[in-house]
Amino acid sequence: MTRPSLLDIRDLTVQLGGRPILQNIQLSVAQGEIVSLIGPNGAGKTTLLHVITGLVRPKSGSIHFGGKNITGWPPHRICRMGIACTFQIARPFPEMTAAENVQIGLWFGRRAKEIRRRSRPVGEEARRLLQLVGLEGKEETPGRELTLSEQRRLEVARALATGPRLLLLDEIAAGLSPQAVSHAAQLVRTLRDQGMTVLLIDHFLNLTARVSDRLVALDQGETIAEGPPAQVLHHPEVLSAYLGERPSKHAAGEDR
Amino acid sequence: MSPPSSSRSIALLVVVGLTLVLWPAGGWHTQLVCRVLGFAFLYATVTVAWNLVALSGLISLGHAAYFGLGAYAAALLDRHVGAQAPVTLAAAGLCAAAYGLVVAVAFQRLRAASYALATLASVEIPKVIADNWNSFTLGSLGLVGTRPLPAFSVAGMELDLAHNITAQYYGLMALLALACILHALAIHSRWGWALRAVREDERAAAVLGVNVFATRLGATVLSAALTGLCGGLYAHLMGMTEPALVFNLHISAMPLVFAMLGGRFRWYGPVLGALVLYGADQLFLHPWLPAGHAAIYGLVIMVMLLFLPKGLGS
Repeated sequence: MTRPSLLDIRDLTVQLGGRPILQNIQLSVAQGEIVSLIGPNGAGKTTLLHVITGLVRPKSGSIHFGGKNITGWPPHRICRMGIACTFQIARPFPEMTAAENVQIGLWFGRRAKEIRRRSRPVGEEARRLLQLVGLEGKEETPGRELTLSEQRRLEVARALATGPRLLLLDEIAAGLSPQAVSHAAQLVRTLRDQGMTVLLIDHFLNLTARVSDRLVALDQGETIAEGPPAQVLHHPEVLSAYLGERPSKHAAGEDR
Repeated sequence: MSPPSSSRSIALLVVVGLTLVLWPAGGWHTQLVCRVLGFAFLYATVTVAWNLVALSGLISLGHAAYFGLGAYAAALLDRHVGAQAPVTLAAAGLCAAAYGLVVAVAFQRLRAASYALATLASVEIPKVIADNWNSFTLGSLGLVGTRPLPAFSVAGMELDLAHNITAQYYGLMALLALACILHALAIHSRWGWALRAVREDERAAAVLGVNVFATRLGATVLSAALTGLCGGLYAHLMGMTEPALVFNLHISAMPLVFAMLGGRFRWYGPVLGALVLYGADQLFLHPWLPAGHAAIYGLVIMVMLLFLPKGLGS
């Protein structure tokens, strides 16, 4: 790889309740790259993101970010290192307005110090981020009153508020209208143009072909294929995993 | 951050505050009313302290542990060492804070009902020790004869906290005012943001850079220290400390009732609830129905939950 890698995952194994969820995952994401994680339900995609953000502790293996070993760090420290994420099932702070949701990221994320030092108006910055994701006019709406698609966009704005170098997006296009999917794709491209590195989960392959530089296919906790989108999508193992020609080892469950 | 506060309730509060400050100056106050309201201020402070933990999203049923530890720390130091009130009160706050630290670390994985139950159980350990260590704490008889608070003069004004009920009234009011400032900070500051984020969704808060554990730990230790200080004041004001009284479930449940009545998410809510309910209970209800206040507290909880879940202050 020519570009230096920002995220480096080695031999990562995760067990939840004694059940192996991820086995010996190797994954590198280069600075400025957009990588899609694809795979059927229960493949371990969301768990992989949760391990990177510190919400789930790995059993073994290591995660390096920007050259630092962040394995086992608590989520708030990993956030302040520059990794932000959205949740598959959106979790806005329900009683806070959209603007306040974003302000939490501004107050506590990586850029918190910078913002306090420059005494840049936090409200103004929150408005700018909400505008970026297409939520202008919703600043004062409480999180719980936003639609599903708006909640997803709010999560992206909130994640961006922390000033990440790596953005993890979990199914931001699932269940959206074609128009909203286009909007999401456009947003990811805009972020890439600004130099953001993005690792996204795309179970339904909504965004994959449109935005990804590279695909990583997971099935039953293992990497089965990796490479340029066209190549991975035609990989026989990926086809069989998606089309279900082979019986699944585990009962299919929501991947978390 | 600040929820849109209705200017009417602020105005009401200013009126109530001024009335409380000024009415003893009229000369027609009674010792009883001053005494009752003084204790209302003390319990309002405990309520504010309790609410700091509640603002972090945890309902504690164990504040009697902090209160009792504070009371015993003060009373024991007074009895065995003869320490002066500033020292005994500092010790009261520190002992309770230490226990709060233990609770925050030991119960860091517990939430909701499990946390409430664990804190409820946490009262039993200090209570059993106070009840049975006869040579040191005099067991269930309790410690009697704790010396009253000292008299001192501020800016030429004699403030006899030992015997002058009116002075005690103003002293406790000042304590409550400090507690209110702390409480306002816990709602309207960066720390308040952290508490609110942790309360609403701690996983989301964590990935946005909020240190969930430290936020809860800080709230718990501060809350315990303030409650312990109130326990210490209680020991000096009452002159006696009994395990059955200071480690009573009533002490743990009272702040919950007061805070729910007044509204947990406004800076003045817990204070409002405590003054209204404790005052009404002691001044009007108690003379008529001495055993009835537990029933009234129960009734208040049920009515509030059903009809005004956000409290009077909302």
